[in-house]
Amino acid sequence: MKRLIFLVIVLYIVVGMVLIFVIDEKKNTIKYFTVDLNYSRLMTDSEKLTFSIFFNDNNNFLVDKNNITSIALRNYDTEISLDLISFTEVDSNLQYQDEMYFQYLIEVEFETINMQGLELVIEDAFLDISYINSVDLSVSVGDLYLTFSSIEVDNYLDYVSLSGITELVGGNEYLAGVMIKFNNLTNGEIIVNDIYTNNRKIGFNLKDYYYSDTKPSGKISELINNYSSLKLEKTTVIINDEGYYVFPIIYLYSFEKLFRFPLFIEYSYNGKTYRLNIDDYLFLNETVNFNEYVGNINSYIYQYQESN
Amino acid sequence: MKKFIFVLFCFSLISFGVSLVKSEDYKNYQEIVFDSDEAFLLKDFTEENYKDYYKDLSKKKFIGWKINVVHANENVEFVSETKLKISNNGYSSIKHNISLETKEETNYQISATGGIKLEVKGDVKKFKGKVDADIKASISYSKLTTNKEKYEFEIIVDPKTYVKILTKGTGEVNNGVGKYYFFWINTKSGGWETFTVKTEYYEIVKERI
Repeated sequence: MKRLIFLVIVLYIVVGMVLIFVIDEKKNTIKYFTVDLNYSRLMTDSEKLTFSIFFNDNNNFLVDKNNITSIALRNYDTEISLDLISFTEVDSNLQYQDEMYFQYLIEVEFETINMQGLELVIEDAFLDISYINSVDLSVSVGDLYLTFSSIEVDNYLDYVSLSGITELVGGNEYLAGVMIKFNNLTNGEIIVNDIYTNNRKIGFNLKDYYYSDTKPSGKISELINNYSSLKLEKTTVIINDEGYYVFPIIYLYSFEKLFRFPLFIEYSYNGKTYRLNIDDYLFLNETVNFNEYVGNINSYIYQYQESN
Repeated sequence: MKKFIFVLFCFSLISFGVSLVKSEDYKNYQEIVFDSDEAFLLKDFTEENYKDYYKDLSKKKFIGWKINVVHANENVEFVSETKLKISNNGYSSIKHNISLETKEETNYQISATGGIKLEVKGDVKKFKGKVDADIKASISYSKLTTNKEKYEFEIIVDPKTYVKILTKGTGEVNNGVGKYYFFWINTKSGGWETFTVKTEYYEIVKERI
């Protein structure tokens, strides 16, 4: 009998120890972060926007789309509700400050509101996500410059080559110019009056452009010697579609990482003014280590409540 | 009527074509140029090179891989394949929606020779067995990320014209050789290489067919 009691006690101890080692201690916090980016877009019909959030755990209620009741973009003076299309894990094992993160892509659209023709600027924007259990996340996403318009066939002006030219500033590479070869579809003269984008932090210098019959390459300072001292100056340009133009980008405040934005080319033909819309083109893409982006990263911690 | 629709459908297939390069392999890139004159790719290793590099691994080991990094963190510039080509053989302009995504398998690519093998898990290629971790440790590998946003771009393609998207970029190459020992006996040996894309520059070109 004594032996049986002893065996039961030993069994309890062994099972207890196994449970202690095998069962994971439930995390009482979830770490997550976002990276501030420039979202400069030409929003064509039912185009979607995507934002990334990085979580250090992929098995919690925050990453389940079914738990989200509403989603909105806001800053100090604007708030706009969005339709959530998807909330998907797209990557894992991403290291940031000695911890591994999972990347989630949040895809949204502006379907419920008619935005056609609108210019929406939301600088220092936050994405507000509300959950079914009254939990709200508010994460910084960066600056949004959205033009709700369309791409139409232009009968007078087109382009046959488009790419970006970069510059190294303090060891970092920034987009510094746009190389474009035009296609004059008329027999007459086309005058470019202005080139601009919807990102309010940059402009194009039309006075100090570079022109060559052959496709230019290299950094912008190899093409335009005094690039670093250029100002935002405008003039009209009678286009020659035999060669390549490089129009320098002027950063109005400081250099920023830009990868993608639309271009609007205002031009005159036969005394009338037209605008060629070029959709938000991806000029370049970088592969990065998050630890190099610390200045643009917003870190957050979700603390489970007692009742959870 | 049905016949007419069918003919129209066939015609539209003929007059408008999209070709997408499905998976990228850096070994097929049009051009890869090293910043350093001394560095070169694994595919250019000669028999003599292999003999030299294996010499550094001649000290025997009880069990496991020994790795020799020949070229470490060598910067390269590359011209990739055409990412996408859309042609319009028709007689009127078309509006086309281009959708591209940055793939993990493009950002970090690997290759191997001899006794070092590759395996594919999902979309990710890795060196088969423990040698993967040994190589990653010897080159201080850390996983990098890129903006994974789905990239949608609307473009007008004029009649008798094709549009193509080309990429060039900068990257980093690590390569070397490895030997596997089992009870101090060398049972496997081969070459390995990693290719990491750092920056990709996109160029859009429209040309007459």
